[in-house]
Amino acid sequence: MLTRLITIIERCTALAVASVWFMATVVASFAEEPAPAKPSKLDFRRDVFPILSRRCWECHLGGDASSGIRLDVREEWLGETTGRPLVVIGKSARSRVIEVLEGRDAKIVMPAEGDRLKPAEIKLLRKWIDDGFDWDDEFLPTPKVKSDHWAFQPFVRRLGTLARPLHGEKTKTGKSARPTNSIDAFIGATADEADRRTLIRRLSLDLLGLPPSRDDVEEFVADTRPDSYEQLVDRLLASPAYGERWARHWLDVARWAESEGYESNHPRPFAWRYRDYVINSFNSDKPFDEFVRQQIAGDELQPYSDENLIATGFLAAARISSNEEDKWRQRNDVLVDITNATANAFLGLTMQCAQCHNHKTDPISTRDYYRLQAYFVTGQPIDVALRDPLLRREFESRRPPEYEPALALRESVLESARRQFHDEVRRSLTHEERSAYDTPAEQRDVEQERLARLVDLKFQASVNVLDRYISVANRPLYDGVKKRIAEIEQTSPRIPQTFVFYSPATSPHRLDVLPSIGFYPLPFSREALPRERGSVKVRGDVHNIGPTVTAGVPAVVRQVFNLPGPQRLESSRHGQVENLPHGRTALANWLTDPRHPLTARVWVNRIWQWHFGTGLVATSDDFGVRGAKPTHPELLDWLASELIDSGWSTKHVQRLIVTSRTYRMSSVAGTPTSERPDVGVRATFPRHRVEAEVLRDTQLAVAGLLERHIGGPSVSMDSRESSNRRNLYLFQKRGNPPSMQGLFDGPNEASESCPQRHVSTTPLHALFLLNNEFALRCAIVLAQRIELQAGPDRERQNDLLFREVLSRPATETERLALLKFLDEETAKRSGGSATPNAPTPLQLLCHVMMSLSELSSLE
Amino acid sequence: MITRRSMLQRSTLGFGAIALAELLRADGRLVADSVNRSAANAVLRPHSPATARSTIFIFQGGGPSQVDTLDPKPLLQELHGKDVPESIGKGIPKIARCPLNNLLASPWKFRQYGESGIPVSELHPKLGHCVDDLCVIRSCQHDSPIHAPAEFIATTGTQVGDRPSLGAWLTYGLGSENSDLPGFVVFKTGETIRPPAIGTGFLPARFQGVPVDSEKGIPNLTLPAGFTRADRESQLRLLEMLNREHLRKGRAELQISNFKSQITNSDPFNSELEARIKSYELAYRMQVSAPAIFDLSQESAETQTLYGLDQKETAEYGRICLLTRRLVERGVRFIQIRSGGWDAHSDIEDNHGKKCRAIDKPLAALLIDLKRRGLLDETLVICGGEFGRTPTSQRGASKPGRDHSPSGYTTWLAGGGVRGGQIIGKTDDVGYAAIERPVHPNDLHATILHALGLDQHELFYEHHNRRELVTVNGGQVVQEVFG
Repeated sequence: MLTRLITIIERCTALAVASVWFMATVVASFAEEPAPAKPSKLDFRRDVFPILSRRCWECHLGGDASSGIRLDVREEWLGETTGRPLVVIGKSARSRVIEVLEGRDAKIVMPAEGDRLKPAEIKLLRKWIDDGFDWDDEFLPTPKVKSDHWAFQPFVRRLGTLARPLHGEKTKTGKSARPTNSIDAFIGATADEADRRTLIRRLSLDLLGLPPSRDDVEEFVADTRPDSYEQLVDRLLASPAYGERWARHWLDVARWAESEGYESNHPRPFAWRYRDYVINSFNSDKPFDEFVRQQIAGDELQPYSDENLIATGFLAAARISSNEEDKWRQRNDVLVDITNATANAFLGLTMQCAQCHNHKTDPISTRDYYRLQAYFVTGQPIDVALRDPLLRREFESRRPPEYEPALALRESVLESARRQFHDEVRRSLTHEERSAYDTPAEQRDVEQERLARLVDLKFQASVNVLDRYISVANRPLYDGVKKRIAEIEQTSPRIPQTFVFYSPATSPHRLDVLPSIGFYPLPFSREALPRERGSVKVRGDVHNIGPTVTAGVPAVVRQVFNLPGPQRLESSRHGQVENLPHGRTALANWLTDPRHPLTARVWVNRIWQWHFGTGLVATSDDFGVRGAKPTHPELLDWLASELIDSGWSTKHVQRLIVTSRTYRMSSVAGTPTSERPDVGVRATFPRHRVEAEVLRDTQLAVAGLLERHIGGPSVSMDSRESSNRRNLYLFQKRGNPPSMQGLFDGPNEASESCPQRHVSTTPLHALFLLNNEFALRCAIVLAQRIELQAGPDRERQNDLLFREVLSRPATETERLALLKFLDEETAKRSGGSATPNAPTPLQLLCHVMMSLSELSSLE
Repeated sequence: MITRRSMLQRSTLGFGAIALAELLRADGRLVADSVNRSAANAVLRPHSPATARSTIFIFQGGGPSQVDTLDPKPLLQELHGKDVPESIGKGIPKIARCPLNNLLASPWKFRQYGESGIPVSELHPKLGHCVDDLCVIRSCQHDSPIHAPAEFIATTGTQVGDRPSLGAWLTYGLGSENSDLPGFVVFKTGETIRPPAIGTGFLPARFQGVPVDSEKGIPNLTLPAGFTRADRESQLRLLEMLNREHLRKGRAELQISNFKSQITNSDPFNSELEARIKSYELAYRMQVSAPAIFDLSQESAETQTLYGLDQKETAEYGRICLLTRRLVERGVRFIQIRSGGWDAHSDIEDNHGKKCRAIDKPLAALLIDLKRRGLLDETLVICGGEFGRTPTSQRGASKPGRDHSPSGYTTWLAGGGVRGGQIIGKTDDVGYAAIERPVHPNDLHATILHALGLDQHELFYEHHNRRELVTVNGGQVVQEVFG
């Protein structure tokens, strides 16, 4: 009793402590009194609390209540975490709690121990419910998950307008005035500004993932206008190549790939539309909040657009094991994948830890995990036809007219087979299964729900299965029409489609779902999906189902602000949505609320990381307690507010970053401008190796081979190695990346959100660069070009070569070394004994240039 | 701007190097040594004395049948065509595709070999003579009857296929003893490789297994057509000169800075550049020395015959096994030989007959050859599939075959401190399920680590703030293996 009382006290606010003691005394005396005098108006503290504390809380108190249900929190009475309300406000007769108190349910009678409640007490509770379920929030508030960890606090938004670059600050050493903007107020940048060749190359590799052309370099070097740098930045940000480069960063975070993963690893031939969506989003500087909304809830947004739908490719990028015969696990794995990716990408939290247990270090519970997951349970990744009239018209014009009728005919034959199949499955069900399945969803208990879902899966049948149920009479017709459809599909383009995430429960649009590929694809059912409910999986075990949970966001972030508006998901049996806003739209709105402490911080930190190699928070996917502390917390918050104030403009933040003195510093240290080595001083621009894609694209660009057209279907597996398109467009098969991408730490399995690439250095890199056909091909073409442009003069050749490959003239040492190399190699060959396909001296030289460290460095 | 943790992660080869890392941290040479660390003089303090230096993992993809090779079941012969007796059937885990009806007798006879008298079937007449070196675990067991997940359990510890493969872990943990060769080599034999089986999961890409074609060798190892060695050497001289010039430019200007200490810390890139310069040297050494390794004409005629290079049936595995010995001699840490095609759903007599005729002699030769060169003592050899096969007959097969069965199957180990001539564990009387001393693939992983002197709880990699272990799902060292 004493410990229980202490717990009760802990549950109450400090203000209320005294009154609790008072009430506890009252409780004691109250127990001996006859029925209390009936007050005209109920008072929670005076009338209800004593009954609860005396008769309910023995088993229903606190977060670890022995019964699993706590009755000391108002929301829990309303079923917040279990999904099963115990009271219907205003309707005590229909309230579950009254039902069990009155003994109307033979299975459960409450209290479980001791005497039943006195009729007067029950009457009092009924009145309490009927009168509006008045709760004294001050006396017994909902406990808050609190954390003083920096990342969960609202960020400090500095007042004032958007930052404009400030000019004219003199350095102490009296050197040329260097441009500076507000970022530099947070960071003491000490090095001199890099020279103009370095700057244009840095900017170009960073913003476009490609080196600048020789002409661009010379033009920029010669441009003496004071704002020439800012103009260059604007030009680069407006280049379509910018979107390609920055899309790849986001695709890492989105764990996007073009095959299903796992052992089956079927291709997703239309997943490229999401890649193009990301490219276009960066190029159009789509507000980041909209970018988030489309990706999280594109299928729910009004009005319908193909673009919104394609954006859900983020969620759909989950791996799916189509060989998984355990459909329960198959669906759960997909949901886990999506939940983890969403938490990693937007919240910067390692929520995956909470899949099996409460997070060890962050204030995130398993319940939080499954509440977030519950936003996704009524949907799934699936191929869906697009509606763009242009696409459709083009498709229809190239498709034989009998195609549509053939499809309809096939469908009607399959439908009769499906009925056969359905009947047979139904006959095979056990009594328990049948009764669970026939019980309306809202009346099922946990076990029945589990059974019903399993039964539901039995009714799923692929076309291959249904094939066996086609009647003898229909067989010739079916085979004929099937063959004809196959022929048409072989010879004419596939229906315009893409791989999306779609919930028939929360999407107001009825989308045209196309058949899935794979042996055992994730079953899609318009009828079954709306019945899905989120639930805790005990210790992460898919077959160990815990309490049902409603969709919701991590409690620790709720401390900053609550999810606005109605968030409960209501749908009728027919899958029609009644209450707005829908599930994931609410999640997306919450994520992009300007008060959200994480979304903007996480995003600007990623941007910073991609520009400098390391984020202000070095662990860009972990803003939790064990993640790195921000090196410049005020700067992080300032950038986050800049993002929001500029209408979530990514380009605005990038413009701020790349025009800062901090970014424009030389990568080698010059004379320090400050005698005071402040904390947070940045001495130089941190050089780093460019990513696999940039290296490959750069080699192609330098050779003049790069094909520049944007977007479209990926280059097929067979043609990847010989393709001259940007690496981004080479088919992204999981576990089987293009060779350079795989070798140089590019995405491979894409099994989870990748916050930052590794940098490996191995002799296999050197072997690839020197012996693989790819670099050689680039070298030979480059040599040809140099010869064409420079003629036979070696000095000119060498000069041009350096400017083409490294955007700068050679130093004296380098110039002499190149000359010596060419002279020696030419001398060796003067004997005329060379083999027919022996490389020329210039080709050898170009080949060396393709392997230079400097070529793959962001200086 | 690299945190110390990430620095350790990126630059060192794991636990053994932590002590070294501490030393290096003092003078900022840490990252520069990332390539050195894979060289022969890698600092390593094993957690316990190692009994093995290298590991050879012969992976029999598809799943060889235990009751036809190393786990004879007289009762199976008696009950041919009948159902599994209920007394045995009730002990067999209920797993999809593992029916209890229609037992299938083994078409092969067994006989006892060696001093230990361990029975081996006619499929392995040569291996039979090595039986006193083998530790035969008859009670391997897990619960996935599907190829890929089961293979991932065998090679990565979990069935998902997204964790580092064992070879990657060991290369991360121990490095390679030979700077001219990759630490983790994979031999292909026609079948496609399931990438996770040789992948690095969350470990850096450099620990990836390098697939080697037994005919063509390491990829990108040959000069492009028309290139001479002299061409390449002058290329490398120029390349090194230019790369050093690039490195020097960064360095020279550092000297004049007043903030030297800060700058040293903030630019690990110079070290990475140094590592890259070094990697070209290593690559070239690899290019020069590796082809010699693949030149088997240097081996005596006796050795070539021992491995069966002279016979068409055994030539491919003979080459692979002989190359494997040569790689072990040169300090390669982990070699995975992929021997696929054991998936005998129908006509097991033909399937296993052919497979064993191809592999029996080369396998025995590998063991004999390692032993006579004194290498078997320091080389751990493991051979087994992702699961075994059902003692019952495959339903609907045109000629008798067996389905997948993970409930009780055989894996053998040899060398590297293993006590040979012993049998561990037992299956039931028809050879369906392990009934004594079940050994999970995770236990095997712990055992392999142990042989290499690694404590499964100490070899870790920090990922998402979690100490990731090889044996993430547990696993116990099978101590009896070492006798």
